[in-house]
Amino acid sequence: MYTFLSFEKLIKKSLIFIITFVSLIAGLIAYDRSSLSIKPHANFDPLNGLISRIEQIEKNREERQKIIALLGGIENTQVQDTNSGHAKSIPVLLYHGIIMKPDGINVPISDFERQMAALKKNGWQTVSLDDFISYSDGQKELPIKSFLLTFDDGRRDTFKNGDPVLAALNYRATMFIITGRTDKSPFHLSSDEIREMAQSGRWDFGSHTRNSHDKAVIDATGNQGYVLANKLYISSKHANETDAEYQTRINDDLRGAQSDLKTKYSINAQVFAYPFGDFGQENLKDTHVKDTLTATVQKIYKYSFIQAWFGAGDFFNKSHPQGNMVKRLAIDSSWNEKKLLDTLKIGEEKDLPFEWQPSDTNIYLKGWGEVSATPKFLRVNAVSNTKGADAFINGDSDWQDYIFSAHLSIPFGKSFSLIVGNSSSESYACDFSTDGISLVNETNNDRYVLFAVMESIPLPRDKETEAKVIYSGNTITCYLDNLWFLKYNLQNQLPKGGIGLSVYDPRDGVAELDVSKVSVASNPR
Amino acid sequence: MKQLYRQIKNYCKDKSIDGWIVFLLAVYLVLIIKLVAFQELNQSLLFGAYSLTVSFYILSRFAISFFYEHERSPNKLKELPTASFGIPSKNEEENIKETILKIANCDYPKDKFDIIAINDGSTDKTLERMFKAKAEAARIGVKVKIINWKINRGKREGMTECINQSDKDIVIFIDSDSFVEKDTAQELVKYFVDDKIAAVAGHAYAANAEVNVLTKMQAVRYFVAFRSYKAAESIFGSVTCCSGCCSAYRRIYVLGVLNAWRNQTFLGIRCTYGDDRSLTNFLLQKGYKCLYAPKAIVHTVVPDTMRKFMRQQLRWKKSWVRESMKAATFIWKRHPAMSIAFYMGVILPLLAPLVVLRALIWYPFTTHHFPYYYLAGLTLMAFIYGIYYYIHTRDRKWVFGVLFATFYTLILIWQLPYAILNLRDSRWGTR
Repeated sequence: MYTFLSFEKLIKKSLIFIITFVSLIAGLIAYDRSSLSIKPHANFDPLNGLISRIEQIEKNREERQKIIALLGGIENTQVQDTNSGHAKSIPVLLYHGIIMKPDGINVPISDFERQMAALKKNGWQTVSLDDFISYSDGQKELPIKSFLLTFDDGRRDTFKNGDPVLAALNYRATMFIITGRTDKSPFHLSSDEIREMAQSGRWDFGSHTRNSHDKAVIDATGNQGYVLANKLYISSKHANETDAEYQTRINDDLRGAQSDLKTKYSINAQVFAYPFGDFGQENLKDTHVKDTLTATVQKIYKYSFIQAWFGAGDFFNKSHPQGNMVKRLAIDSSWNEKKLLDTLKIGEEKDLPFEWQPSDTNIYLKGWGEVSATPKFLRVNAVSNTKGADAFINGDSDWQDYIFSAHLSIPFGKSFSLIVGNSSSESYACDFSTDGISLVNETNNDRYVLFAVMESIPLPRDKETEAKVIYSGNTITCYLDNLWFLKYNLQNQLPKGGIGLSVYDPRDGVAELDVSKVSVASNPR
Repeated sequence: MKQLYRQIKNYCKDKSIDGWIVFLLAVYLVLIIKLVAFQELNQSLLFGAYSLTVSFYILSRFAISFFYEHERSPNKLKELPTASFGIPSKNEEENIKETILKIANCDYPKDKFDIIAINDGSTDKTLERMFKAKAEAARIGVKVKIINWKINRGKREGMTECINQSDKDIVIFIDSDSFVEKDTAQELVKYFVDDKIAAVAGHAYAANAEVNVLTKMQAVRYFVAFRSYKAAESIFGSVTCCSGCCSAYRRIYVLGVLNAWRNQTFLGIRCTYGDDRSLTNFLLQKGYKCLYAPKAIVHTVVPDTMRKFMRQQLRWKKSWVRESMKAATFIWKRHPAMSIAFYMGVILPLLAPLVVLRALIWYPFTTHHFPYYYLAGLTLMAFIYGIYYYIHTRDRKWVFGVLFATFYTLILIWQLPYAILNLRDSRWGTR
């Protein structure tokens, strides 16, 4: 360093500097301690003001959102936080009557109250029919934990007993009316009551046929079937309706119901609920009926509502439902609020990666047989009258390109399968049997063995092992213990679908599969 | 009693005690503003940090230069080195004769120095005036060598020629419109105290200071820039720019970097402007020391019209950008206090336009608050700038120092982004 200062000068200057510096600092501290403030109200960063203003708005919104529904005994009801995301799929609940005294079928009022309150408490909120239609159109996003509440048959007890509950919880419901029965008996709603419901702002309406919510003779032997989904047997002609006659009949009825609602109550019925959930899917005699019926319905109504059953894919609804058919979960007197909540939880969309441990209860839904959970594993076993059992995960129908791995053992049984690509139309299964490994494709009507390696393989009886399926691109690869495997390329890309497990033995009530861990990881092509 | 009073009064005047009191008061107020800024730091880290850093930087220049004094003793060197005065010149018929004669009349031993004047393609009577000066200088025993170039080759070539033509130890470059004092040479040479020193910068006054507001502002600016900033750099032997108007170089060391400097290119084009900064940079890069001689006075002509001034400033800024980028790569090797100050001195001006924009436009616009703070800080710093000048000169022009500091902060900083965008344009502009 070059200063050219003489030593004494350096000392002198340093002293002066230090004294000045110290005095300045002392002065600063004095200022700081004093009550003097030269600060005007301005902040250094105006953004701060902006941020606090935004925070204020958010707070107000949260407060507005905390509407506490007071209904005797219900405390701490949570209101939906509209900010936490959009639902990937929506469940639709189906109730029929709400009765005072239990009748073994319909839901008693106390149960209904408890179930609705439980839903509300857990953040579930109803949506209007219009919103649901917009959502199904793909035009609107609904908050998570939204559901559509529907009632069939237009019963008076539903309205009388259920409406107060809806009002108290700020819920909204859709009533499907059999228009031909209005004003005909005290059992069904009168026109006045329908108008009252429409005015209340808590009810939407749909069609449930005009006069086709009945059974009638459908063949020569006098067997009865649902009139809408069967060609009726005309005794005078000794034959069933022709296609044309059937077509005309149902068309008249369905259009009639719609115009009834329009002219009497100015209701534009865009939705239709199939009586008894029957759209001809059970009609094995005449498979044309299903096509005709569904086609006719689709021409008249935008969306139709059917019933979902377990083991046949998801029962939550995504936008653009297949065939414009919306799946509903039918609630009867056997349901309680716990089952309701658990079932809804089972049906929610699940993302990859997915892991399941025995401590995660109620993820699996059984098809046939029995599914139970112990602290160590999930047990999928046949019951006395079944040869096997299966268990599926719901809310996984959008999964694609993944690796499904299960740690399991099969104490009893000839074979077990890891099911992949499970959707309402088909599924694939890696079947591990004492005879060998095979790849099976199951559709609604058939079962095809795509490929098999017939070589005796040791199934894990006592000691657990890992079974794995890589379901990715257009290739399915099945592994057992990373030793035994089968690989198969399909022509086209594998369809989206979820997973399941099943077990089988030719003898009744024998098969048993114990699963301790399941994990599904993404495996992009 | 009265005598004591008078003594005190004289002492105060001498040492500018009144100036110091005002100065320190202003510094105190600035520190308070910065304290408040520091407390509000979390609200806007960048701008708060800038505010603190820029004040710290400027105040540190004053603080450090406080410890730099001119070399009082006559001459530590055993033997006075020989020196050549190099004066590259183009179209300076007005000033060149006086320049040469002023040098010739300096009190350096006549047998130890000579003058080399280059006529670099002048289109006026410069050459004629040179010969006239040569004749007059010869009369007092001073040798003047004149090199005449019909076609202009540029200042770097001119300076190179001086280096090559000289056979002396030291080459002192003087601008063709700058007038030295009698002891300038001695004062410059004094600083070559050890072998590490390659260059010594003199102190430039504005010769035409009193002409108009613009020249008055520049007078104060030059003073503070030299006396404070250069001194602060010189303490660490790292004066970053030995001004071309009056600087002395050890010829041998310059020969070592001559070709690199002469053929320096930037963005593919040969460099013309910024010769003095560039030469100093080459020497610093080699590890040499460059000092500042506060008593080596030269009076140089400053631009007296806004047009000339802006062109000059644009030139300076371009060379600043170019040379700062280069210096950034090796300054870290020097004294840490110097390095930190250097990097601060590069980053702060680059951020300045942003800060001004935000403080004076965006902030009032979005908050509808008058930028009291910013303007108070700005005014105080400008005031400190002017008071510093007053303390050392007791000259009335200090007011223009305040004006200059304000003018610089609000307007001149905008030239920097413009300079950066126009780096490719290597035109000199008008002198």
